[in-house]
Amino acid sequence: MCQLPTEIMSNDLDVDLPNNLKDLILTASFWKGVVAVEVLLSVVCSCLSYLEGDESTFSSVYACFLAVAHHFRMLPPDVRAALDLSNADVDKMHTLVCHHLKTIFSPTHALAFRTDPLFDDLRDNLAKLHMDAFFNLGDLTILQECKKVIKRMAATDVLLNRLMQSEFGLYTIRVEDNDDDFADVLSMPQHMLALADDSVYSHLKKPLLAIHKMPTGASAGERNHKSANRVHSRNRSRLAAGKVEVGTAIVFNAQ
Amino acid sequence: MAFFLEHFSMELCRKSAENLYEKLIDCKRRLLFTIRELAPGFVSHIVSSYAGDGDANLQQVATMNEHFVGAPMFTFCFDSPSVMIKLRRLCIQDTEFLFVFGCSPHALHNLCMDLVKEFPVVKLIVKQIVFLVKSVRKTHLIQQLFDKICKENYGITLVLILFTKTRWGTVRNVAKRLN
Repeated sequence: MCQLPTEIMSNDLDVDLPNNLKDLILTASFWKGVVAVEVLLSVVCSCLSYLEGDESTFSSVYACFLAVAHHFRMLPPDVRAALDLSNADVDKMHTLVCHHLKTIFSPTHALAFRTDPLFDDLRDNLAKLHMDAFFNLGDLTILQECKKVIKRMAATDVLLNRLMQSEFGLYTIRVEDNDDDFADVLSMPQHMLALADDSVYSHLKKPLLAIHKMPTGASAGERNHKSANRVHSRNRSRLAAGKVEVGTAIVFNAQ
Repeated sequence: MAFFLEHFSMELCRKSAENLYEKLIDCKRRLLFTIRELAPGFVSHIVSSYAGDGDANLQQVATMNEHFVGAPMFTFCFDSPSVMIKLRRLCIQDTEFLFVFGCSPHALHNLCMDLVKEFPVVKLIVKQIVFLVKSVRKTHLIQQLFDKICKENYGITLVLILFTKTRWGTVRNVAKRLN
């Protein structure tokens, strides 16, 4: 793109490149800004692309928002300089992440994230880099949100609530070795849960399986809806028999 | 199993939260009738509408989860318009659904657009990118020169793209293409 003004000059073309466009192309700070905008939005858009796919897991919703918050905190100095971002701006970005998570948040997101062994290392690494409060993108801490979900699932059954809470506690303190039910972190969480020991997680297993199977968003439905809209279009559904006949004749004659 | 509510509202009634809620509950009950058995002493609303007054008094119409044997857990996923946010509140209030949550790609897209709107330098750069792309695309000779430069440097011709507010993540694609 920077070669454009020189190319016009060298080819002696009768093109008047507007001054403001020429200045813009030759401004180094603009190109640094373009790179910085791309870096700033890269993680957000990568997470977006992943979450709209069919293979995304429910636990990854909270993880993606955490990754975006972490990305904003760790923006390289040159990106911050190019976009003129102060510490207050970075805090504002964190607030925006929390705000947008709150618009879709359900405590089940926290429970799914906490019970997916794939994100154990992510939690440990982020804990080393940031304060513990960094994890709490919702109103409560992750563990409090998890307990809230279990209580809601148990409804009025006090005993079931106690049993599920203790099984969740067992999960959190489990020893991560090769015999662990959740050792194969590359498998989908619902697959690992389905094979987990019934004697240990007998009450929590079924509801957790259902939670991990939940979709990350409405994108699959919207995709379906778009294709269905083409087939059951408004014009087609209003088409009377006479008009269909006329239309068919026209198409037939045209061929 | 997931259902998209839009498919059940193809009629003339206004798409208010109350109307959509009614549809949603209707879908939920119909689904329950097909996948679960009724608890003893309950009948479906279809049976009840055909039954005489005497019969209807004997059995109760099944409306809640407890009126079915082993009813599953129901959750509701919604996108971002205000009508859906109101619908979410209705679902939680009436305890018809155990959990409700929003569409995460929608939220991330809104975050993306907020980043562009809220930070003046980011907003200015995006504005300049749009100006640059439009200027190059509208003049045929400049476009031809740009294609020539691309061919010489990369061996292919590239198209400068603009972003669409309703297409997820296209702001980044615009900046990426310009790089």
